[in-house]
Amino acid sequence: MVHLADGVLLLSIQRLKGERSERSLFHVLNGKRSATTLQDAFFYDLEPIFGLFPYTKYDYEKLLASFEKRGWLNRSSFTLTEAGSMLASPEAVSDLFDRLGGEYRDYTTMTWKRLSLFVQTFMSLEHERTFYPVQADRLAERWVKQIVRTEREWRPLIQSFHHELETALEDIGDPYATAVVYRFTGAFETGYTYEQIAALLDVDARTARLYFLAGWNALLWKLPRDAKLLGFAHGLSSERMTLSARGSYEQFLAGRSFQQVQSQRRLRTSTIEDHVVEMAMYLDEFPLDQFVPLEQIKQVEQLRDESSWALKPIFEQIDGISYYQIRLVFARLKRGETFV
Amino acid sequence: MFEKTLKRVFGYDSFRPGQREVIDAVAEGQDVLAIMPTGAGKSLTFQLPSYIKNDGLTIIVSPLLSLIEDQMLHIRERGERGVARLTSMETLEEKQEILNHLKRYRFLYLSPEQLAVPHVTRALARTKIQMLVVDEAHCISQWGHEFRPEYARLGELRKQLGSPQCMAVTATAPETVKRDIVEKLALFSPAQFVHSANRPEIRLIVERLGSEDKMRRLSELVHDVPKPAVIYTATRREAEALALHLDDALFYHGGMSTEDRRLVQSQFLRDEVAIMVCTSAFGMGVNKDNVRSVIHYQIPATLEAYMQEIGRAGRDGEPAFAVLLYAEGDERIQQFLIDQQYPKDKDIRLAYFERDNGTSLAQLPRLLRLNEEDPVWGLLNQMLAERTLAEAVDWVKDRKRARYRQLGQMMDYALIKTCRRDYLLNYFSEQPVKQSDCCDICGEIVFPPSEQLVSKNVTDWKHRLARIFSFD
Repeated sequence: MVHLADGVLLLSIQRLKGERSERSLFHVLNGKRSATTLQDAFFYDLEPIFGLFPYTKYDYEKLLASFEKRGWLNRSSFTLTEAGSMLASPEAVSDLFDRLGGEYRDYTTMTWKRLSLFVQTFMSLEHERTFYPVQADRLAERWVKQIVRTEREWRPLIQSFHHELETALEDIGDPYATAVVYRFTGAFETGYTYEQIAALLDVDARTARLYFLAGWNALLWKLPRDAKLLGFAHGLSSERMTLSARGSYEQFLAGRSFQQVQSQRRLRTSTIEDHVVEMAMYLDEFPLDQFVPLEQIKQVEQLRDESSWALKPIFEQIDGISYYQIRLVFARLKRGETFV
Repeated sequence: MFEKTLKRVFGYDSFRPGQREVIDAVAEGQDVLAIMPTGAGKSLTFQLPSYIKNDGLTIIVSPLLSLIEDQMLHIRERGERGVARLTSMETLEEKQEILNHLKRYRFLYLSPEQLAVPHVTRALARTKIQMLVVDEAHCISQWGHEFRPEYARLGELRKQLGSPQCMAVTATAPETVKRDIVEKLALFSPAQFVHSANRPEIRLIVERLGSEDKMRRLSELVHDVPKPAVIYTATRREAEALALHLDDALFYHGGMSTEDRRLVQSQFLRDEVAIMVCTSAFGMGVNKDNVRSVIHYQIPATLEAYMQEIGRAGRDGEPAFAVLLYAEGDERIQQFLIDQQYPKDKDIRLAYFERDNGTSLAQLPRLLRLNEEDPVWGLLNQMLAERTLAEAVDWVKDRKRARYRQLGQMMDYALIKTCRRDYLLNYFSEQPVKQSDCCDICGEIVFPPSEQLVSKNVTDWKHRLARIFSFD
């Protein structure tokens, strides 16, 4: 049996185009916040699955071995076979893949924990039912405790929550809506495990989990700006930039130069460079020509093979350019900017 | 006057049989060894004295995160806020926060590993301790069925804490294990309380059949036995496979995410699912009174484990059923699991050889292809520190032999042609008991007609959502 979840993992290998290693994907799946891994995720369109498959090394090895054994994967080049490509190509796979929102997982996960625990707690209190909390997260627990205690007109608010969820889920549709709704626990009904949701949707449990993650992520972005539900995201950041890079960015904004930022923060040159690459990847506006001469920017764009994000061929063809500079140009090209 | 506290704090009108005596001894300041079957109200016996004496912190050492979580949940449910835990789940800051404010707490739960962390031990040594409770104390004994190396240091740690009053509790412990507990924890002429291991409300059944018939028979049984029911298997994979095969069954094992584990437990507690298929990870600390049947799809490794697992049935005192399915050769899986818990002979030799030739301890796990978290490595590490090579090899051989013997005793239970209850009680050094509805040897056991317990409510998502948000 081939499941959609396998397709998603195969697609992630396909997107790497044989340009990165097994290790690189491992770190992306685990959501390692290192510069290299963030860049891999950004350039190879793997951000949606960032950190969503926290495999151990052992399990990852087992997974790749099984892909190879089933004739889907060439491990030496880390590319898919024809059969593997077939499985990665259906639209259903890329649809699911691109909705997963892994790059926002801290934000979406915590919002889910808060909301689901709140709903369970509030509705159970309302119906005077004892309950067994579905979330074991201390931060979420503390947050919900504080909220539940506040005096306010809860009923209309709860009705708004209900309405907002329903409207957004109608828009997103099944199977996502079912996967999300059946995860909720109320006063009388306990949420379903992924196995149970899988049985409802006639898929395997791993796919059911991805449907939930995709549905929940899509829902949060579907909500109107003034949605009451967004209160559950209060104080959470949906930013992709690492805290450390953000620190450097703020200093740049205050008008400091690269050298000043570096001496102020006492970080290595390469670290600050990584921060600048993050800015180039994530910021809407970025002054690329302050870091790379315009002539070289153009050269990079012209020399790049449309389908590749490999740095080395460019590096070898342009005198006096650094890998760091190529990354910066790539980042802006990836965002759709053009300089020629 | 204890009754007043019982009513005020716990909301009960009277003690359950045996609780009072234990509490008396604790209140008098004696060391205590209490062997009480699951469901007899162990935790109350060390919690209530804290309210009577109000004389410092009660520290409870417990081996499993799920157990700790569960007990804390119960304590908090009755409104007690002075309870904290130190486990692998807390961040460093949270732990420090707790250690800095120990005076705020009445109860502190922790794992033996956490207690052994030097700055934790020191912080606790500086505070006023009313009592140290060692839960699941059988884990301390190498002769016990769940020996944990981390438990071996508890005696020494107790000393470092200033030898506070100590209470050891466990559900089951034969003579050898009892002696080990008293000695290892250095209990001072402890008051001993041993409740009968007999659970008269549980009918004992063994069915012998061929391996190929087990699955079919299980499906029938699941249909016939009263529910809710728990099915025990030996491996996670088998638990998943059986749950998939049976209707209205969920699996539960240690490899699941916290959220899924909680969803499964909550469904089972609320009778939303009738059957749980699980490994031994399920059950410890799950308080569900109305479990009617426990089925063993695989033979457990020891009689103690078996008693503990069937003990989840019939806690409300109503009739319950324990069915063991045994096919010849089933014991091999337990043999395999036993072997896996000890380092192999050649690995022991290799480890000693490498160590003696200057290889650092840090490199050994990789050389031996062991995960550093693997308990086998923990064991090996401990042996390297405490034993010679010859001693280590012998020790493992002895240990395995003892475990095989225990497994043999478990098999005998399945194979005997005499009263099964007698056999169990004899194992725990108790006198035989005559009762009707005893076991399949003493007379045929008939299952009462079983009612449909669970009503499935699968509707489209909009209805489900509306129900979750409904105030009616």
